[in-house]
Amino acid sequence: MTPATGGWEVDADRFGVVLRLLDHQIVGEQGQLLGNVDDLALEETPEGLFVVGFLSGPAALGGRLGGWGGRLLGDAWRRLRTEPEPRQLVVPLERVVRLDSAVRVDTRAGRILAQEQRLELWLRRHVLARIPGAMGGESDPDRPDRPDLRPADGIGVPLRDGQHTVSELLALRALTSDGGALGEVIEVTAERVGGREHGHGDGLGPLRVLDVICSPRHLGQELGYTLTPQGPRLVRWLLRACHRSDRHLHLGDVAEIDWERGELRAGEYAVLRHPHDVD
Amino acid sequence: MKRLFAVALGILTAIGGFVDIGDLVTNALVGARFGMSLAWVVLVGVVGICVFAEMSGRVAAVSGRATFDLVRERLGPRAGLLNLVGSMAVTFLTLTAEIGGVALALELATSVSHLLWVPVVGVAVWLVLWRVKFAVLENVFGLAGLALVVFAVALWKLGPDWGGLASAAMHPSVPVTEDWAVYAYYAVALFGAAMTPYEVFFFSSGGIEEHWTPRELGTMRANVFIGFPLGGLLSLSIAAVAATVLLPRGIEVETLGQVALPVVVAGGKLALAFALLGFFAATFGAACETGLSVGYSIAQYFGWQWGKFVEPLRAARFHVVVVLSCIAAVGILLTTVDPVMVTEYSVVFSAIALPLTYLPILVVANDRTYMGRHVNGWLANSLGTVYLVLVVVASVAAIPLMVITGAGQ
Repeated sequence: MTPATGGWEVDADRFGVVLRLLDHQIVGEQGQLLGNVDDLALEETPEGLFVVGFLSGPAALGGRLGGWGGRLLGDAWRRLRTEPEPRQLVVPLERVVRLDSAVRVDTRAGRILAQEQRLELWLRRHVLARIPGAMGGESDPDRPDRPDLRPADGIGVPLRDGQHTVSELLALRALTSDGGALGEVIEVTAERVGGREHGHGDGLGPLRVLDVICSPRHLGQELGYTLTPQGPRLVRWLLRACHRSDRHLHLGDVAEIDWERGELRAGEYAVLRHPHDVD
Repeated sequence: MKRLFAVALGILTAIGGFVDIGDLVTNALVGARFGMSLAWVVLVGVVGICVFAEMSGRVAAVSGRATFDLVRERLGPRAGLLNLVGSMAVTFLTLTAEIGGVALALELATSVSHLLWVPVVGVAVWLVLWRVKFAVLENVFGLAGLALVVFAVALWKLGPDWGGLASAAMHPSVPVTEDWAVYAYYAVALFGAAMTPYEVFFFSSGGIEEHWTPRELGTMRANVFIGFPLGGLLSLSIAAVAATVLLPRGIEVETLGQVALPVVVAGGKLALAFALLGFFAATFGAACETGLSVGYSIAQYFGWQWGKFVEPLRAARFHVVVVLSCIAAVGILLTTVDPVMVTEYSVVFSAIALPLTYLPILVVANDRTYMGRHVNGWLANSLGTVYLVLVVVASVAAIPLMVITGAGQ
């Protein structure tokens, strides 16, 4: 396995969650590729809104894809699970040891994620292991029947009822205090509150949501131009033109988030500026 | 010394690996119909693939992320999936064309129908992808592909009117016998053949297979900036021999045998043997590269374990995708579809699919958080922007031109 380099670490305290975390590759300690960050779990507490963990796998991806294809993927995942009521596992952000071009997780989280990949494990056992030269075979450490790999050790916790996901947040319709449309949420910025820098262990830890960016357009949402303009002039100019109605909204200025109706309403005195004009 | 050897080996394999069935067929076909009047497109295409490959190789070396990782990350799941479907359809079509090309080369060598060879080639490609080490695969076929140098030798032996060839290349114009739309259609096809998207998927994923770090950037650049242009010269010599031998006699290229015809005229049996070895190595190598590219891209989109740097058992889904694409390609060829025709379509569809992967690479190569001091400079960005416009124009023009010209009739 390759402990591939991951470029520079995302060391900023405040960063775009959609740009830097969502849809990124998850890498284990030995460099194993363990899936993508398909969604993020959010928790509302009296102190604010926090990104607490990530979800990975067909169910989360299906939710992000939407439409009949996404539903099909999610339903197929649920049907193929053995539990009576399958829940998606949330891997807490404390288990993320480093965030660079990949999301690097610790050994235990890596094992849980490897064990959750049922299609991979099924293909290994029933297809690949029968072809000469597949190597590994019985000595494979990721075999699912190893007793220490049960999810009971508390690393992967099922998505709870009170929790929300970033994909729900991204689908919210944003409105001004008098009901004017601001579009949908396309980016969320957050800051580190736990982890190494704050003396809470080694992991990345939960992230406090600071601002949301709303836009009537989704085009190029994850390209990385939402918060800071950079790169070739032509691309920058085209995206700026397309996203000229983007608005930055501090979470403290949000009057209410109605998850049921899928609405986010800005407060009366909310400052709405283009994200490039916010320092 | 060892380092020099590594650089030289890399350059040689880049030359041999540059040419695939698309370049062989399209260059010969264009040379026989348009002489050297489309040589400029090969030049534009080679510069384009250099810009594009260097950027993706640099991103892979610095950030450890291959092309489809970036596509998923920067386009999101939905647009990324559409991109994946489009790019993989084209890469799969190219895989089909390459396997057909290997079978045609074997038919030329053995006089046994290519249809009988197709399943054998399919199994052979899969076996190589299953068992052979990445470095061996890349070097052996790249070096054997150098046998195509026989086209340059043949051109020299034919003793053509060099001034005429050069002036036709320098002053491109639509031949009086051809329509401008047909000319433009083949320009797009040549552009697609030189800049096939799989080359970038393979190049960036290959960088990760070989554990590139920023220290290998020099070697990578030498491969790209020396190897690819020399490979482009090979492409041009294929067009030039066709322009010298086939064009005056009014022979159009419809089979792989006709691609080799000028070499036979120039050098007889021995030259033909080299040409056939070159055909075999170039198409077989490219079949392996496209087969891997299909697996790489799908695995990277979903975040699955991929690559030949792990035991096959650890990358089960990746290897299953590779097996299935080999089987499906063989299946398509067994419908008795003409592999040369598949090739002609595959290069045009390549041109259509180019912007899909080009934009995310350009954007990430500019991301300071990822790239640090290896971020794109003004030259890479200027060329990158020019080529962004070019690939979009070629992509948009391809379908209308195909309809207007009846696919170049």
